[in-house]
Amino acid sequence: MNFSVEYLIRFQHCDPAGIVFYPRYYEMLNQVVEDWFAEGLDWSWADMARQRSEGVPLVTARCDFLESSQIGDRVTFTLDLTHIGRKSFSLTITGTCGDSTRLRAEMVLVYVHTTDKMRAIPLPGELRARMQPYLKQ
Amino acid sequence: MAVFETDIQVGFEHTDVAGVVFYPRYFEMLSRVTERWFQQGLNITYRQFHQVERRGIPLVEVHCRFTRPSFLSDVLNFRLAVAKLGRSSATLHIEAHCNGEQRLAADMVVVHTETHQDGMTSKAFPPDMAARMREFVVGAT
Repeated sequence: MNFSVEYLIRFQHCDPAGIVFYPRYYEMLNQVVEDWFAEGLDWSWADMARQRSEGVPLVTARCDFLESSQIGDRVTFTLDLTHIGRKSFSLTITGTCGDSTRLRAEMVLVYVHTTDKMRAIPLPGELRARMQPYLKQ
Repeated sequence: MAVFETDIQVGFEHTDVAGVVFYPRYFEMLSRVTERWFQQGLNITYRQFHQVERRGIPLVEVHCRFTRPSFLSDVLNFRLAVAKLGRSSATLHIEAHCNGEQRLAADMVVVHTETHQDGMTSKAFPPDMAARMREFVVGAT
């Protein structure tokens, strides 16, 4: 099972050449993960941040920007969970528009306690169980 | 070989709910470091490069490791070197350090392009620009 969400490329995402400025793509990638947590895993970042003092910062990111996106494009982001470790998990997110692949990102995120110097902690069992159906075979 | 160094202090606008730098802000900093390198190291402002000369330097591939988190008011020392210089592309290696520890290390592949009405096409670095960039190539003397 994977998770998909479509975002409209807006004025705020684009540079003077009219294409997406890459830090805005990272905001979108972050939003895809946030939406997946809320809608796919029922584990909202609001509760995670405010009630649990936990978070999932990025450890490594690899991204290929294959074709540029312009204002007005609707880009579909598809998230695949590729690995679940004890404290971390790996994702692949692909952005497509029609038959054009815009970007492909591989990201490793780690589960941390935010009030303790961002110390990595084991993924809660309940969250791990909710992630399991998304794990790519 | 020269390494381009520049400092960016973590400001309130860079930090997230947990009080650490939100990673898209790191990519804005990497963009800022590259822009400063153009201006101070390669002697061309982004306005001249992008808007007057209608050139571009889009990112096609990046690999970034976020080694340690950064907190508000940390002064990050960024160091940029050219890991690989091709005809029309370059791999920039950028690290950020603070208090003796590495915060991030990024390898960014950028392409030199010419902008025109229906998009952009890659174009060889002009000789004078390539010569300046060569000074920052890792291992160059």
